[in-house]
Amino acid sequence: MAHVVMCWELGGDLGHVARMKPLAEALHRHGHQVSFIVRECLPAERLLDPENFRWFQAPYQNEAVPDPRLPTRNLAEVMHNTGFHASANLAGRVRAWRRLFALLDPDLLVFDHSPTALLAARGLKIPRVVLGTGFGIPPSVSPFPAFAADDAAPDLVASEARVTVTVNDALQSLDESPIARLADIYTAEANVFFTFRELDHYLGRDAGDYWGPTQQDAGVAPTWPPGDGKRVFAYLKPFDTLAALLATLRDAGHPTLIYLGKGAEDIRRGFEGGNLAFSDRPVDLRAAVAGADLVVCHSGHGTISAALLAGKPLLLLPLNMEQRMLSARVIEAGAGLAAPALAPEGMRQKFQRLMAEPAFTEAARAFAERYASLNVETIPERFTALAERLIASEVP
Amino acid sequence: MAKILMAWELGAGYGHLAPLLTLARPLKAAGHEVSFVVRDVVAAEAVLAGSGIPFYPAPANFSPSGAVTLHSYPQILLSTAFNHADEVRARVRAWRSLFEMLKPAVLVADHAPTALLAARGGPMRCVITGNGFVLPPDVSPLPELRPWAPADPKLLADAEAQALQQMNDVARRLGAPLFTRVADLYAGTAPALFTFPELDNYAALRAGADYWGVLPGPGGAAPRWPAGSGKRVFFYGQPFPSLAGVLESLAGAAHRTLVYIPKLAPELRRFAGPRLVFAGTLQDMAAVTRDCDAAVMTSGHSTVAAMLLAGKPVVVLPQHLEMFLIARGIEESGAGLAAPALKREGILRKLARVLDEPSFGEKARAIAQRHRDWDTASAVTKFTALVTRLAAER
Repeated sequence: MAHVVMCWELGGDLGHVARMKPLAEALHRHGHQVSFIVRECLPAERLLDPENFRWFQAPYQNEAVPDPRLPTRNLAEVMHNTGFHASANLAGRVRAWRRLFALLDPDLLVFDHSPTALLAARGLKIPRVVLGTGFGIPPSVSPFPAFAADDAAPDLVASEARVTVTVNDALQSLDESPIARLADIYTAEANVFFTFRELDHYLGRDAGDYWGPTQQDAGVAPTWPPGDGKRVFAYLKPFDTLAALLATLRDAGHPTLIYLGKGAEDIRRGFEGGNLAFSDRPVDLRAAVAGADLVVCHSGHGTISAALLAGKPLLLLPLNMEQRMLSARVIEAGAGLAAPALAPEGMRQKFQRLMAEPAFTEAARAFAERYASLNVETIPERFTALAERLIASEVP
Repeated sequence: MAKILMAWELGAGYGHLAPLLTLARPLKAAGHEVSFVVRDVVAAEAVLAGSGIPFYPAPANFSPSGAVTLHSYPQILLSTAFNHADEVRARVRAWRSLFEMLKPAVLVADHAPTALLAARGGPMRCVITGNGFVLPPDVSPLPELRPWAPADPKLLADAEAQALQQMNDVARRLGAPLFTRVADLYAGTAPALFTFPELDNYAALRAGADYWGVLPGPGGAAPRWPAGSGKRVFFYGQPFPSLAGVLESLAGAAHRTLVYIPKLAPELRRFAGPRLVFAGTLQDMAAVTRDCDAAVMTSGHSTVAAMLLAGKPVVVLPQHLEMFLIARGIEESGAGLAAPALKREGILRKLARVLDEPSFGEKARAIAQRHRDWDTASAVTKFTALVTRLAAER
């Protein structure tokens, strides 16, 4: 029996723990112990069985960095803004990670969006697996690609060089050898992409081991409002022009099932009834997309994956850079349209095109057919086999 | 020898770490195995470097309630550590994970309510330590902290009931004994109250309490005062909006000023000159308080205490509740003045009064005289004995 430690350092919400949960459960079924080191404890409490798993707080940059890079143009700048701005800060957090590793004595380390934890693992001779969607695993290039194509300004080189110097100063204070470029931080015994090549945030990656998405937790069964014709499923958070989107969905008259995150109760009250039904709890994604003809979401990886695997087109309303990058991939695949400005008229026109033009559904179906043989339920077992092989191997 | 865990969960800066390190060193020297769990690992790296004491990050609340004007200890709990039942339980489990791995015999908690909640019903002995502000008295209801601008007592009662409910929700779900009031969080623990009555906002509510004095800060560089003659003023703390104007005036004043503001904006260094010097690192407070005539301070229970114990008056510039309460204590004792409006003219006028009117220095020297028998070494020895005894009892 081995001890596997799963690390999540950057980002928010449930997605990181949700991705690792089925992997941890499979390892646990095979008799291994799994501990989590998490950025936020709440997702662990929400998703993990405390009888089976322990979790610990990940080291984090406590104070806002004094000179954040805004807008944040690539992963190097994300790193700067999250505590890679000063070598003493970075070295302090690296040491804290190392003490946690020493306390837990892992046989295998798993990293989800965890650059400082990866630095701390250098030289420890513990096998490492880096996993994530494309966003959390940068390509092995220098400088890291710009998030948005029009940000490809030459000073990304200088910006990344400063972060690299900070990292190497920290490594020197830890008596570790320097890195040549930031991408070297992500060196690991295995990289696993829990996404599809078509949905990789970074285009044109040379190599990548794409396994598809891990199974998300099921929610409640979808209860559709009455009515005939095409159905719409919307998985949304509150945003400024939400009321305009809801008006479009109501006026279109299609039976529409909506899950809204917290904070939009007032807006929701004005739209309840008729062809719109709101679910109070998260809806079982696979069942909901199976019954829908169009999926509306903020371009989260889980919802997009579920929709495309079911051959359903998407109206995408991205709220952040990561989501904008992913929506661009869906548009390239021809399986959806994005309204990133969230303007009422833009959302309405794109909704109408998606409902009227069959090409989007055809592209989504082609995607689903390409992955018809993918069985996401087997991914955790496959991961366990990889983990056991790495645990048995020697790390040079 | 025993395993000792020292926990710091809430707050910022070095004000919790430095005293904990002072207490930890003799425990380690006596052969105990000491670990820290800390709010800020970067601050811990700065303070604990070279001590050989391992530290781990304290479980953190990434969604605390928004800023509101706080009026009571239960409101502080609700806005920081105990604002959401699922979230508190998530962190309590993370604390328990650390307890299970580190297996401490004694938990020393400094402003660490979630650590105490996690320890509830367990086998560890608990010591609570810190200044008066972080150790509420054993009363219910807990008092209004802004008596000069009180909230509706009903609101405070509701907050106390809500905090109690959060605590009991966690206790019930984790099979720990329930609480009957918020102050029970500290019941059954051994207090080591590191302050003096003059700086304890709860002094009136804990008659007969044992005051352990104030532990020194982390130490630092020898002060380098501007050359020449004139009284010496030490200026320490956080930036505030009228800081540039105050520095400009001090640069042209008759007295000499040594400024240590860790987060000073670089452009304000332009005020350096023959009457005003900026220090770039932590200062040795023993030397500073010996040499200066008065201090202007925005923050720091232990730095204010160091001034009073040296018999030197202070002007306090409070920016948050804890410092407002310290400022009130200072004004009541007569050993200084508060300038809560943080306006240039008021600060300078009050500094002039504190320097010129002998009563402030006299009152400060009276406080120093009252505590002349207190010394750090005996407080630390007493603490070591307490922890060693509790560890042996287990």
